[in-house]
Amino acid sequence: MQSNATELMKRSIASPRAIGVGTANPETSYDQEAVADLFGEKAPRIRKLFTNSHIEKRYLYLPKPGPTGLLTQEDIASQQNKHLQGSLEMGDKAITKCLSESELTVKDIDAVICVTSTGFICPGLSAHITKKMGFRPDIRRTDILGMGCSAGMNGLQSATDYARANPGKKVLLLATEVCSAAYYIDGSVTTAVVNSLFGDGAAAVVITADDEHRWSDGPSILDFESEVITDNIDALRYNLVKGRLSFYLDRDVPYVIGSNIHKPIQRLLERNNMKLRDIDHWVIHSGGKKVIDSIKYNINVTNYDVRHTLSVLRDYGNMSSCSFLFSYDLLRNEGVVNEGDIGMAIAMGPGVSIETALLRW
Amino acid sequence: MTYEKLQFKKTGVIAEINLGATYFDKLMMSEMNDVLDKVCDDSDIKFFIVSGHDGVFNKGIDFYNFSDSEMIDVADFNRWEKLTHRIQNINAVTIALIDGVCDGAGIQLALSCDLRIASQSSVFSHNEIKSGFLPGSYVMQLGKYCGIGRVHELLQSGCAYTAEQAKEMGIINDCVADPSLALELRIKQYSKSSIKLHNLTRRLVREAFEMSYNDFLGCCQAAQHQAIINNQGDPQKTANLEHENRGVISAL
Repeated sequence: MQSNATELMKRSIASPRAIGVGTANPETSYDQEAVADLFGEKAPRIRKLFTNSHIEKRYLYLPKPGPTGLLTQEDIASQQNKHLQGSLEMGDKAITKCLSESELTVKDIDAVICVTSTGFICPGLSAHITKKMGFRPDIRRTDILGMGCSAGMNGLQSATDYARANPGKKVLLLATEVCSAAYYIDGSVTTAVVNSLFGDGAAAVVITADDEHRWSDGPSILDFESEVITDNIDALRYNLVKGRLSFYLDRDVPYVIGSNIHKPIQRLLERNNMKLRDIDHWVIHSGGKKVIDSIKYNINVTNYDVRHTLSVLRDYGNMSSCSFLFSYDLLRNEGVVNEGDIGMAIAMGPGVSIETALLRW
Repeated sequence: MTYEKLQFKKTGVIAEINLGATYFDKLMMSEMNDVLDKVCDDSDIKFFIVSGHDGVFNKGIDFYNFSDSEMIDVADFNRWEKLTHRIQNINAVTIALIDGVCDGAGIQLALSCDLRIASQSSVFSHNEIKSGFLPGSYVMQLGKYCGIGRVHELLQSGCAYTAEQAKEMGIINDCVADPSLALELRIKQYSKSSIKLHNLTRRLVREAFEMSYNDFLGCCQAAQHQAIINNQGDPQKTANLEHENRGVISAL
């Protein structure tokens, strides 16, 4: 075990490290009753979806209600514009916080990876954010679209690969989701499930592989492992309804994830000569209370282990790709992490995909 | 591997740890963690038994040999809590076999197990406050078993109570003349049960006392889903086991 610890220490010195994080949300938050009122949801069954969601509030870019006090369906152009403007506003705030903490300027960034699934724009968000932030013109850009809630981890994989292949260079990952730009209002239970769950948010993280930073600056990203359950490929998806995208969540999603979550974790741990008991910190995507319960009961993590996952769900809702970075931010600010601690980050999304990352402080 | 402060042996599906020292100190805790690593890595083990020696289950913490530094600090107590938490989550049916004195942290260790069997001559007391410290997180469990008023009295007074009283308060499961026989019956009772179902039930019961109904419902469904996977769609399997176990409960 001692030799594995030494080996891990050597690997963590050489591995890319997450050296700063910044998060941001819209200015206005709404409690669940208020959102249900704005959507004009009166049916007790649907209102219960909102109030029993274990979410207390969400930050959302909601338009001004109409004369009846209800939200009306925004047209596609307005939603697209909202997605871009919201992404730029939250993205700017998240990146500024992240760079300030890392003592970096926008000119220090060599590559940017933008992740979003709540709007499609061309040129991609990476071009718009480059213009907005004033990144260097030679910046390397990547946009990851349509991978949903797990996409932040998919972006982290790409950022880590880039940093590992380019020692000393700094790659910025920005996960931004304007879920309120993807709302579909039709009064059905199916859409109410979605409309009661998702919130708007953005998170940025800088990854670099260099000799300057140490454990207290952030964890090394040691390894990743994925599990794609294609038998359930349709369980989370966008449907095209009357020319609009409407997100669909199958009721069995929590259990599909709950029955498979141990598979990538087991492989990741075995490959790194570790056991489940070696994990000191869990950073899990706030997919929803049922998903979190299902994960808890499969891999036997405690309520303490998922405290940040639950608190992010309670205070922000499911912010899709950036949720797990909010949990990570809470963990590192808690002051409980010590040198050598091992962390497991998990995000789940359409595919159905489960993405995991092994961290070491 | 031999240990200085305890004895460990595995016979078939049963792992037994015999506490060779009267008090818990840092060496004993380190040795227990080592044993727990072995138990967790051995999927054959279905029962984990903890017992004491020479009329003592355990008398609690040796505060003179509890810390790596000169002064005891919260981190030392945290290590102890982590150890008992590990026992609470072992992938096996855990049984404390108490025959004699069981004080303070010894009670915490026993309460970390699924079942507690005590001889009629066993005596319990909570000695932490007398030693100038506070009891560990087992106060929570104790409260669930015997209520806030009683726990307050037990902890503050440090008065001794008998196995029979412990049984009345719900702190132990069995108060018997022959603990070995009771252990045999309990092992027989649990031996055909699925460990997976046992673990799910254990967690579900714990969470039932910690959550609101709304929070608990999701846990209940998640646990039931795991049980369904475990049974592979064969509810008859569970029904048969229930039938076989019924006779053993009445024998206790």
